[in-house]
Amino acid sequence: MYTQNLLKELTSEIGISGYEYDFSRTVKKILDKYCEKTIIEKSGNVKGFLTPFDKTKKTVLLEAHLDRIGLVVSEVLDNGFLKFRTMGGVDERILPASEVYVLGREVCFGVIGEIPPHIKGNSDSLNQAPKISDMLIDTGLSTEEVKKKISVGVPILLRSQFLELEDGKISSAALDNRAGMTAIFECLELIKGKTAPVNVCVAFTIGEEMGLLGARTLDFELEPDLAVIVDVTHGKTHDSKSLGTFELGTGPIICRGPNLHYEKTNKIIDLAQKTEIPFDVEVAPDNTGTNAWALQTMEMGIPCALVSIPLRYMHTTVETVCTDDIKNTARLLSEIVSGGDKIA
Amino acid sequence: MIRNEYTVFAPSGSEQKMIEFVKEKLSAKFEKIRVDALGNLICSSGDGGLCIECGMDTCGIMMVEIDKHKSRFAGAGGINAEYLIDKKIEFKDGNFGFARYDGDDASKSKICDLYLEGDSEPLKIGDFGVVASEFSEDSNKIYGNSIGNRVGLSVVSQALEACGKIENLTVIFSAQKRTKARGIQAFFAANEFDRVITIDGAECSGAIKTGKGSFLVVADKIGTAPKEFVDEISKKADKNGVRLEKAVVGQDFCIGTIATLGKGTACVAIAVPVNNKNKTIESIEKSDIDECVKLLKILID
Repeated sequence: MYTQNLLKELTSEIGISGYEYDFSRTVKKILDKYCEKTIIEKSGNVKGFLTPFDKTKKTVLLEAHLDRIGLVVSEVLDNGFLKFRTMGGVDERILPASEVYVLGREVCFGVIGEIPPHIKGNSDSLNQAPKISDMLIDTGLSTEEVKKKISVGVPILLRSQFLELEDGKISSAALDNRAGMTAIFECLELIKGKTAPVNVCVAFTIGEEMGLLGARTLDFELEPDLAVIVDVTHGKTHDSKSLGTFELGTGPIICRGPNLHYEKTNKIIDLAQKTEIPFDVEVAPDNTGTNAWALQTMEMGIPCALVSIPLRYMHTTVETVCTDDIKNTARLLSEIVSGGDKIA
Repeated sequence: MIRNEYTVFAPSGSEQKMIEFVKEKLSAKFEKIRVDALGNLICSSGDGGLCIECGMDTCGIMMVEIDKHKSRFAGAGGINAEYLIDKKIEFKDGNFGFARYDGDDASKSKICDLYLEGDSEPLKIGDFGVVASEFSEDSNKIYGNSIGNRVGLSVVSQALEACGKIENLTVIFSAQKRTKARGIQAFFAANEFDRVITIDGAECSGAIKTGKGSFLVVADKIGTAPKEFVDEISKKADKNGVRLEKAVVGQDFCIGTIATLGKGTACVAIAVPVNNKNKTIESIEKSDIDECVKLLKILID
């Protein structure tokens, strides 16, 4: 139940890209349970060091982004309506008929409405997905109240439910990347009380959905010999392409490509085989679209590996993962940090 | 020997064989040789106020799906589908296959439409491959596929071989130059130099023509070289009778990238003109290579 409970706790937190600070403090509190030292950087990145630094050991960094996609108020209109923009790559097609929390001075509910087809008129426009610039949030407030409670720049959270589906599958918003964070926390739980042959540090970074911002500014007090980035990748659905999508329940997915360290990735693949952890391999011939892209060229160049959890319906409010994949990712991470020099 | 510089297996992101090749060739020349975390090969002697950069990778492919009949791949380092069609693809361990396209109009093909015909048994997802190298030379020119990506490395290694023991210089043979200059980004963000010279092949267009020696790129798509540095190199070339012309190019030669990394560095690019760049077979005039080698030797000495 650790996985489900932690995932539920983390997905219930806000932490929209650009507005992570409160969530960073929550994350620090959880990390405090496992770390000798934890820090919140000025940016909001949260870092933890499991043990005091031992110069004789190599250092492994486990990294996951902590932010989630959301919306932001761009204009407050009369009669309680709001214009908005996205923070990160929200799938705009799912916005009409969504329910939202507008996080102003008071939390206000709102709905994203759409003109009904009966009165929309032009038949061409009925076949097209509405553009975000044409959408409005209806808060139901009066002109006076909406201007008092909500201002431009206020973040908006898309309302979603944490649903436990069959066969260990979970559906919720923000599983990108609270699933990755959960895998790291579960790894820390697995290695708790054991002495790792490497220095283990953890970083939960802000702003990934806005252009890898937290990873770009991460202050490496200890230069890692290996950074393992934990994120999500596309899960296979009944109607999805076979290429680049992965069955839920077969993860973790280990990525290969020039953005990642060739030999260390191969070692991780060998380790997964040896320890009988189920895994699959994905290929990214260019930018992985993850924090590995930023971290790889930082400092003197950081050897990166990318381990992903397959997730269906990315950047929607019904993202879906399988808890077994999170558990197996945690197992793989714990084997990596227990592998010492052989891996790092 | 020169042939090897153009044909060693080194797709962007898997440059190990080129690292071994260059190390073997140049290790006696430098005080220190190391490979950094990103896979750049860094050779240095002394404090190294001057740094010379050249890429050691070339464009390639990566296997993304293994299937008995139609294995699929993606491009690594910016390669176009039409170029690949019916080419022999070679892999690190000597395995090979042929890139095929079943559509009618090759000009509309995408890499995801192509597949590999050949024995898929030994291949793994994520394996790197390159178009099988073709290399020929006559008395005036060298010919081959992707030689424009390697001419910088060839010129630098020839110039270093022509010099005695290197005393005060850093040379970076950068990894993943064809994948958005990743090696350059990692290296120059963390290492400071007074001046950097970057060398690469340049497509013949506008002022850049073959048979004129090499070209000093004073401005590329995103950066401008400092005038003092340009003048200094031009004067040295004039004084030693080396043919060198100035050029402004529309391509990205990494001048701006290098100049703005770390605390900022003066950077110029030297371009060797390449005929039919990015076509099946590119060609380079030997006299242009020789002029560029001479220039570099003067700058290193």
